[in-house]
Amino acid sequence: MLGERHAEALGVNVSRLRITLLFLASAVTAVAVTAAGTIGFIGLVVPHLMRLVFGSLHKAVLISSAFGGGILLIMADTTARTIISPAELPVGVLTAMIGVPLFLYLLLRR
Amino acid sequence: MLNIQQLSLKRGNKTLIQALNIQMDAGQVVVVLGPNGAGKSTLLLALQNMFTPSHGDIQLKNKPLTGYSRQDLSYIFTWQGDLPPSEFGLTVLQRLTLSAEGDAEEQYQIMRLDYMELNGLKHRALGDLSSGERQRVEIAATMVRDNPIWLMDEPTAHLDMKHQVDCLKLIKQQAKQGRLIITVLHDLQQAAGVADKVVLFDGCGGVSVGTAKDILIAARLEPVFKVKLKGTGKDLRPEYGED
Repeated sequence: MLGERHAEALGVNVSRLRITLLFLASAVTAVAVTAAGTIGFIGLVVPHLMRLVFGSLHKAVLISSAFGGGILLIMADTTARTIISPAELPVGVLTAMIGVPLFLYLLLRR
Repeated sequence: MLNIQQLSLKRGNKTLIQALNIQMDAGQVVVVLGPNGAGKSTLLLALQNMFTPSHGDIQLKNKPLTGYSRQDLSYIFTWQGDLPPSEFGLTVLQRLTLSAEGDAEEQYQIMRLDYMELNGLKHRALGDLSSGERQRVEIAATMVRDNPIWLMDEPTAHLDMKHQVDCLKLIKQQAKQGRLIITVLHDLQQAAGVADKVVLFDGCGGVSVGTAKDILIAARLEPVFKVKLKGTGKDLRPEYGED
């Protein structure tokens, strides 16, 4: 929130915290992927979108991302099951089709 | 309180400080002066062990600085550096809470944070404030952490005249109460007004240390800043051309 130097000056061991958080984030991601399979781009795109809509306050981004991600996934899943019915499209293909252009847009916008 | 022997700082190949010796004690205001990029901010970082010197020894309360943990140092030094990022939506009070050890609201009362006239801005987001108002928040954040040494990097930057005066009064008053305040300043009048000691960087590694009377004279400042100065003592000021 204040940047690395301010954190360090306030007594935070920044490098150790960074490694801890990296490990925790990897573990959480691993659990999610193990449970749900490889569905890309939801976690990559939704928080960025929510930050655009609701601002950068972590509380708002965290809560809205959880709901936004869920809603997007249900929509993608429903579409994937019905669009070429009776066959089913893998849902990861669909989220990638939405996610790639959106992510490119967000990247290039800066 | 702080005893520095033969301190040399280097950034890449550039020598910022060559063999600085200075003793700083509680109750003093030490003003750091020098051209942009001379290493003033780096010195403030080195003093709290956030930048590794290429040579030399810093003793804090007769113990080597490197013998203190990061946590210990955060209860000895308060660092007022650049304005922190404002895009994360923190409110003024939340930002102060990050610096305060306890409840900022409580500290707020104790340290009379209305000194920086922040009462009306308490619940505003940092991103909605002007640079000057954010600078006042940073000075308030320095006050809420009750540490014996303050390292201030251009505390009067962005401030209007009233708040510059308030800020310098605060520095003097806090030093009188026994804090050691080391501050980077760019204004000669301000430096002359508060300094017990002046550290002048020449921009090429040379550093002179002395009282305001010894250092804040045209003969020393003109070659360093490459400007013409006129007046003497506290009236020393740059010449802008036409007069």
